Amino acid sequence: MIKPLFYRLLSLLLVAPAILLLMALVLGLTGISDRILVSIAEQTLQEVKKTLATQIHDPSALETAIQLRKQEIYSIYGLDKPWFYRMFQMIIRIATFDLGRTRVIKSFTGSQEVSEIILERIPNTILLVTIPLIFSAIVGTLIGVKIASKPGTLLDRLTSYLSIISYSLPSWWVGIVLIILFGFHLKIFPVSGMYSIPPPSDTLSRILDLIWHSILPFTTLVIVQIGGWIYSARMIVLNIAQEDYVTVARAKGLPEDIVRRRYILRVAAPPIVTNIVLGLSGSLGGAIITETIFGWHGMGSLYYQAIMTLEENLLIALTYIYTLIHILARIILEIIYLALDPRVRY
Amino acid sequence: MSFIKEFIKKAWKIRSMRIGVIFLTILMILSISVISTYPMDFGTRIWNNPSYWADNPRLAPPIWISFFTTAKIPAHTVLKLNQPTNMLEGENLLLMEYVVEMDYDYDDYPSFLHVLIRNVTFYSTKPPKVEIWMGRPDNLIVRLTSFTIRGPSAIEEPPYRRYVESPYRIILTEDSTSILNLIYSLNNKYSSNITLDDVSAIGPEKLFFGYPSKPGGREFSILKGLYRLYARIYIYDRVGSVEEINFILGGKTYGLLGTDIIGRDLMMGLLYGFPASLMIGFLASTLVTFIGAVLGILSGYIGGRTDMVIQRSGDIILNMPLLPILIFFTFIFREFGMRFLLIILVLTAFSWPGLTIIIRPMVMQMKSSQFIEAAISCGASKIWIMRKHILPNLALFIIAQSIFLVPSAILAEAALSFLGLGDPTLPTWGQILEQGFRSGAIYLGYWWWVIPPGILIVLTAITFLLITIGLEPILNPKLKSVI
Repeated sequence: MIKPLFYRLLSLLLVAPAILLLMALVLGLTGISDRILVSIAEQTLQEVKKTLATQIHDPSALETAIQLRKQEIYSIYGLDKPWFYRMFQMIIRIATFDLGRTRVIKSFTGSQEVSEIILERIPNTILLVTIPLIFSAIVGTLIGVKIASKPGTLLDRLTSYLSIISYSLPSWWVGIVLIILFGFHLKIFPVSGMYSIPPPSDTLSRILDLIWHSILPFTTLVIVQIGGWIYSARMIVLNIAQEDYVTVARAKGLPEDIVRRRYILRVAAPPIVTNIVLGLSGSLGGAIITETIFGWHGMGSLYYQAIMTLEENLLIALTYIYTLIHILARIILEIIYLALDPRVRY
Repeated sequence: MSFIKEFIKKAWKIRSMRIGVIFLTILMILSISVISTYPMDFGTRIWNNPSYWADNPRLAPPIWISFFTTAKIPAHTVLKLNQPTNMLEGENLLLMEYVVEMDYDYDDYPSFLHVLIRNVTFYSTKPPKVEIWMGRPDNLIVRLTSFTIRGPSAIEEPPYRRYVESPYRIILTEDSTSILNLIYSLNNKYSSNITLDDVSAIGPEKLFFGYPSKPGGREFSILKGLYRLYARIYIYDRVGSVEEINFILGGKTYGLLGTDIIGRDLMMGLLYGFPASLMIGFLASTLVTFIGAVLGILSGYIGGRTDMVIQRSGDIILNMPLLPILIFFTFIFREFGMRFLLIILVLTAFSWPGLTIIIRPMVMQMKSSQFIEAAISCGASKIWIMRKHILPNLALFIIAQSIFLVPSAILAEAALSFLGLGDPTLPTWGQILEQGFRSGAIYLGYWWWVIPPGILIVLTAITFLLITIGLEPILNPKLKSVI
């Protein structure tokens, strides 16, 4: 029982090194890794030049000293060897969260350390992603189960069509429509940002301000997610309802209520949880653009900034961190799954 | 054949299938008509070429918004003249006068006034001269501007041709000579004292189509009535010619879907998005389905180490967050060109495992069935069995999955384009949305720029979803109640 679970977790844990290896290969083969390191090395060299210039006054001696230091610095960064010698180091470096520095983008406190910049944004992203996810999972599943009990009715059909539309809506576009409607035309909600400018000083009004700013992104994410929940819950319940044992249970004369609770919903629970797993990964990725639209200071809008300003270090780090969060969520859900389904005995 | 007929009959009974197929037909017809009418290099030569759109109003909403207002909004007007209205011939002189009349009855000023001169041919060494005049309803006749066409160079032989490749454009509403001449005439007639410094505050188009309503003030009112515009071309020989003169009055609305910040006709771009999206969607889904199905069948049928390698790598890839990975790879390889192919390849590389993992148990189940055993006992090879026995049995399921993959590919491309990673040679709906967003369309209320591309993305995605949903009861006959 423990062994297969162990294998599942192991393959999940392998994802992180696999991503790192892929990134290292791509960065090495395209020469981008060289470019990043050369720019760092040149930066260090500039500083060295300044200090050397104050110590050595003879121009030719200065030149040789600089050349000497340059070789030293390049060998420290491993630039004297081809990229694949450095690959291992790079993987270790990123795996141990030594993520390097940015060129332009700064953290809210002004730091240029990539790890600091990302760390202060993780809570914002989690706040934005999880609340709509949990809300739509619960409400969507309830609606789906409810309409599945009377399939084929007008209400069922209408809800199903609406949920298909919801499923095909890109979150960022819904965000744009809501901002134009409620932010620009009706001016009920702020168009962008997490707090008013300037932000309120005391904690309570800060929280209220945050809630006010998060209503539009929250609504957006619920609109695009809930349809998938409704539809999949409905399909799962409908699929189970046509199993023979359900027919037998009905034939036995069990009350419909018990048939639904014990014979249908109990069995439907694990696949619905599977959907949470898949939903989480989808919404994490989707939040990249949603955050950009709403000017939410999370990892997603940071990703957008990193692309726009060509911050390679930040981009690598963010991809890695996204993978880690993703894996972590999957592991947690794997364990929940184990607890939920009595049949799953690995 | 009877099987296909049966299938079509069965499928047509399902409502969502019917709607989906109708939508798809419309999408296909639009795509085919776009492909057959648009030039191949539409993206680079037309769409992303600002000079092509120089004579369109910028950020103009669609024409039909005028139904919702009582005010008459100036429409975009292009007046083309191929023949001079009046012609005067003298000794070694040809004076061609092009005149347009327009009854200006709008409640707003136009956004600009352009004059275009196309293809001037002359023989004399003395270069031709052009003058632009304007006659207004208040009986002001203003000589706006004049200029001399570039004369022949030392090595040039007659006939001398000018403005053949692209026309000569006089932007009257930005031309300081015209503005100065107008100010002079207006100040004289209305005893106002406007200076050149006031123009940017007033708006140059008001000088052309308005009058100072209070003496000494800067307020302008629209002057409605009959306007005449003259272009006079003096050619100093008797055989020279001009191909065409255009007078363009920039509207405050444009076309069925408006224009963007560089004056592009959004309808043209949105129409082009149909074949572009379908191509990306179909290509990506075909590739993913092919790789996913082949690996799934191999994994399920051959088993052993092959199975383990495929399933483990599939598991790892499936657990990677798709969008961040897509962004990363597209970003890294963005300089290599052919970006839309790159997007498709990356999308394929990271989404095949979904299908592989679903197909594997189905193949394993089939492998232990009697007809496969029979085939093996007849001496059929593994490849033969996989091709002739397993694949046909999975075909319908695989087709359904491939249709389901189309909208995800379209949505993924739109998302990447929205992050500025799209292919500039292939304009898509996502790119139009991105340009709108980056130009602040949502904070400035340019809804016509960002709402339609999204609607089209959603409609396309829904089309394929409806077909997938319609296929469900055919694949799973026990499932009776679908929508």
